[in-house]
Amino acid sequence: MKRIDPRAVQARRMEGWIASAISVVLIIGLLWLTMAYGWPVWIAGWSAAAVLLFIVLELAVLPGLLYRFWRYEITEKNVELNHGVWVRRKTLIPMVRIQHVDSKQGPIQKIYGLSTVTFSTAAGSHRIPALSEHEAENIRKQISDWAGGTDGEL
Amino acid sequence: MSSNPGPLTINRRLHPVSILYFLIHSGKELAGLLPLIPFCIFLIHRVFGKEIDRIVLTVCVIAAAAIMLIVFAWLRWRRFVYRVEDGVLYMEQGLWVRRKIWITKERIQSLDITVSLYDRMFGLVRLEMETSGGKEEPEAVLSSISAAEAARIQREIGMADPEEAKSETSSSGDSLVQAERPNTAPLNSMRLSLGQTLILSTTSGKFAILWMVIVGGGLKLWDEWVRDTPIWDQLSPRLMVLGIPGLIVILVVLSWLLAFAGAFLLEFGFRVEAEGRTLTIERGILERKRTVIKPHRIQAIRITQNPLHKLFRRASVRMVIAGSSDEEKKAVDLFPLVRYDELPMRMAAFLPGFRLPQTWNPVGRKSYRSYTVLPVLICILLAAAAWLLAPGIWRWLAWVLPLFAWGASSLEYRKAAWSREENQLHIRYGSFSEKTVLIPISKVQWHKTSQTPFQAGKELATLKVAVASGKSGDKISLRHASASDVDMLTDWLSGKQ
Repeated sequence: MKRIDPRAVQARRMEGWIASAISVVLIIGLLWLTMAYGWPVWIAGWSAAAVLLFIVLELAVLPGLLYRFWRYEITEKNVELNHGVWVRRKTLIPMVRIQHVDSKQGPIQKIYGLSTVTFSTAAGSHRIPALSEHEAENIRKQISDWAGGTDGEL
Repeated sequence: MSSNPGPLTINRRLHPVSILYFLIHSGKELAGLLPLIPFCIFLIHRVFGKEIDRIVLTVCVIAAAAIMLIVFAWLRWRRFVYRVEDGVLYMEQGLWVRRKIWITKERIQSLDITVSLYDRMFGLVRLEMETSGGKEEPEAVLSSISAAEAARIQREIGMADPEEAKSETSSSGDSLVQAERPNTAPLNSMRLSLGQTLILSTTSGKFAILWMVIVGGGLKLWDEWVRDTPIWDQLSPRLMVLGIPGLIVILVVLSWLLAFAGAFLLEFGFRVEAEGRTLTIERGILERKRTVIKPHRIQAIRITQNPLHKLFRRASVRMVIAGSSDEEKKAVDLFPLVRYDELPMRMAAFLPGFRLPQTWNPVGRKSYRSYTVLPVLICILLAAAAWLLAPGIWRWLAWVLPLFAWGASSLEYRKAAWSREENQLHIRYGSFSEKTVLIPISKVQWHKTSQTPFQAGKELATLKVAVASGKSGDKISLRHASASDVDMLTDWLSGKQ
């Protein structure tokens, strides 16, 4: 089974930085409100503690876990996705069921040269969150070769 | 009703009665703008002050909105043309954006013929066709065409009615209503008697939902309008006499009556027939609807037994259908109410591909706690909070909640089972009502196993199977089954065995 691209850790951490910055700004706003209107201190205190925990999770814990707990395998017959930190999930999509494959790139992913690949079936879609652009392109081509032959019946 | 003679065939136009259909249709689309009406009234009131009477103003605004809707509906009708040639349905429609659609007969998966109240007076029907494409491809709707024209289109696209071939039908829409032929083939045709329709309507569980819709819609109007009118002043003292318990009883009885009437009107004269390659379902009294379905569209079968049905040894059977973009049409009733002991025979006649399982494999004793502990724990916390915060003697009642959760989850544990026979997977679940799903493995789109650390400790796992239906599919779960069983099932589903 293959792992996702290691740069996923950095990309995820970058997202974490942005989310952390926003939450810090919110906390500063809350502190100001507490000062200005004499709100009870415990509101700001507990919120600050929660945000601190959130930042630690976002920057130190989650990016690594995301990378470590993602595996995928694409064979001629099936697409298999294994992921999940707390709940271990194993998804299996038969190749004949795949209707189309998309790869897309958000602004942060673009910086790191990553793509998200989405597999669509008649019953919803599944995705691999961070693959190198090259790998994503390969998968897309590969699947259009494998899945293209069969069509029609649901 | 024809205009624009084309080079090959004539473009046809719908009967003018279809303006009503467009009116209702665009009315539904614009229902979201409804709260704007009180807002408009409020605004005009603010601008012009008190000299305008509130009631006159309301009438004016509503009249203006109604006229606008009618003009739009008329325009929609004017711009709608269609023709059928060589098994291709061509339609041209649209108010702002002109849309031209070609649909070949191979793409048409199911067909609905509805006789609505307004159509019946003119002997017209509404023909709706669904394609296999799902999301993006539009559904074709021909509202208010003559029954003969509908039959012609059905023949052109190769989905003629079973009885069409046997007997001639009169050209009026009433032929649907007077469908009183002798029952020649009792096995592949089934109808619901009046008594059964009554039982079904009485036990319909839909009234809770209906009730919420009524309350939700009512409350919206409440604050803005009713309180300002004399109606409230007259009504409130009379209602208050009954007190709160009285009011609740009245509301429950009323909503039940509404649900009963609704279900009765919808289900009356239910009839299902299997003929050749298609299933034909007919139902309804005010709005008579006939649905023709190709059997390969059926993705799974759901059998439900709610406690009341169980008491009478009855069950209801629905089909999960692929390719419909409409979320409400994901499942279609096959037998709204059927005797449980007759079910295997009926299934054999109507759904040759599906069979009821012979034996069930329950999830096993190991998973008892997986089912019960979490719901009970959550309910204990909730009950404790309620017990601490609520005043008076009634707070002790909160402790019923965990007991209830324990009962429900124990039932869920007892119902959960699976079975694997030939090329079908069967999953049974539910707490108070028992649900059985029959899935041919050739219809499974994907499957997923998941395992929490708790489950891993007890060697349990959850299996989720998805079949095509609606926009995002229909997912069926087998929770907390033994991990080795789940592994065996996934190997089987992925063709490794």
